Amino acid sequence: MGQNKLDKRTKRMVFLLFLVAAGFYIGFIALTAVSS
Amino acid sequence: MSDHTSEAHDDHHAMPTGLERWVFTTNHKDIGTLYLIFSLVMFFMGGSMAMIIRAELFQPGLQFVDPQFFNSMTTVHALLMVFGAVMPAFVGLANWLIPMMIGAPDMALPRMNNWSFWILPFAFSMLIITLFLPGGAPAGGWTLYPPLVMQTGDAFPFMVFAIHLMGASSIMGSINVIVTILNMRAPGMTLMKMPLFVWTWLITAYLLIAVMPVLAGAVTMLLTDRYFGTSFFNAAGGGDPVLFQHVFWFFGHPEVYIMILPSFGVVSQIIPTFSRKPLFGYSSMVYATASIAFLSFIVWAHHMFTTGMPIAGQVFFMLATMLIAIPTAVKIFNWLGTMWKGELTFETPMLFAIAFVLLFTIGGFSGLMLAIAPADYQYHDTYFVVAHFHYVLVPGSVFAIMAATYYWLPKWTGFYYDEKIGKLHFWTSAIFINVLFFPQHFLGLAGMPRRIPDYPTQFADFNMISSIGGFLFGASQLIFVWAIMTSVKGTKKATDRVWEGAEGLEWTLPSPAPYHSFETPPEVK
Repeated sequence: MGQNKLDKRTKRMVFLLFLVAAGFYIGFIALTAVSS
Repeated sequence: MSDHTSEAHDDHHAMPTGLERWVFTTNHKDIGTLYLIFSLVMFFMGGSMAMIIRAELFQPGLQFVDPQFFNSMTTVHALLMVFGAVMPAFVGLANWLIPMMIGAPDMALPRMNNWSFWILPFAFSMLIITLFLPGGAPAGGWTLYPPLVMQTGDAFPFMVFAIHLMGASSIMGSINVIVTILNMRAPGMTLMKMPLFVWTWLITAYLLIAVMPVLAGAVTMLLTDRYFGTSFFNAAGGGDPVLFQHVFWFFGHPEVYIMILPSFGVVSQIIPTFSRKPLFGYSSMVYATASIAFLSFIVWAHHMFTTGMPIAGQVFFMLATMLIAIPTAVKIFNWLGTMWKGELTFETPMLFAIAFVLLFTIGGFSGLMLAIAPADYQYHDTYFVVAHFHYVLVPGSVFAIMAATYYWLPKWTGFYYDEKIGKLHFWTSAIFINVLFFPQHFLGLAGMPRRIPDYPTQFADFNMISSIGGFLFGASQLIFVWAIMTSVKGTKKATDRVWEGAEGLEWTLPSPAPYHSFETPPEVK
């Protein structure tokens, strides 16, 4: 409580989850582009 | 850092007041409340659109609205209910309950939590404002299929950006849920000791992270097809409109489970409490939830049997879809097993939970019928489909949200709601929901297509019954607000445990739950 800094584990987890989301976004556009 | 004592941080612990409290809040309980109120507002807005639809369909012939506006109503009703009412309601419940259930002081990322919520009013304002734009609101159905959706007027980019914002909000909310559950559980709270609601939300959050970007990608491609000369889905440019359906339903089918898995979690909390028994088959519930989530990714094309598909594809998607019945049946069996020989009492949350089990099962069975490819050729795009998914989503998701509201409301406000009013709300809702949606099965089997403002006279009687059920179900929801107000402005003080049979960390807190809870993590044995 009251701490503004996130610990390393949390930061890494957030980064990876955002990366997964971005991967699905770009991946599906790319997949559609090559399929159409 | 020597001044980092608890006294030095008292400024963080004070509860701000007024508008500032709600706009800048990073408190999980405040944000949960904001989500729940927002969802209730959207429920009534989406519901009023449903009333327009049912008024138009009360009799054959065009009565009140022109067909274009009717189509806008079906489209915006669906978008508001799915993205504005059901999903935010579950995120609100997650915000309120997950930290309290796992013994954490707050969500892991409180500022992002604030942002996740405050994006939503802007997203939905952008969507609703399209009703007043030239060309009207989107009218191509919530599935947004091209080329039909390309006929949308000035509303088109508004709709796309609104969906982008909703997606961003959901993804941030999901990341927050996952990080909170994986990093902030109290000592001793192993994964297999977590309450089922927390488990179902953990799995739902992974589903959301996987599929919301796919929807965002699909609408981005619609946007570039329309404004930037691409031809992802434009046959004239070498694209394929059916491809959009594949991409959309890769999102759309898991989306159904995003709306139902947290409902399973809610029901799995409520039934043991009012049966005064632990949940039957806890670990099988967890594995069943994970199996349903996995299967949800490999069944999407059952929405598209009539687009033309190789037989092998049809067989695969048909059988994969039917497989979902197995883990779902495990859950139904476990809920019945929990109630079996329990000391049952029938307070409002339990009534909604039992209605959920019964009526969701009807939606599940009609889903099995629709999964049969050759039969689906007949059912596709008829009112049978409308009846099916409304049984899954209304007495499924919406009843679970209502059950959860009644169940945890005394913990949130510190006062019991009026049980008589709660029961009145339950019985009116449970009766009229069936008057509303059951006849739609017959209409669909008789061949009435969905998304039409007019119909032949042969469908008149069932439509009239359905509309009467709709109006009465809509009116019944005013009783819900009344029941909530009896708790908000309550007189009967709730105990800490609230319900005699309730188990879990949230019930160890005082009622109402303090603004900051579990600053020192509890020990879970």
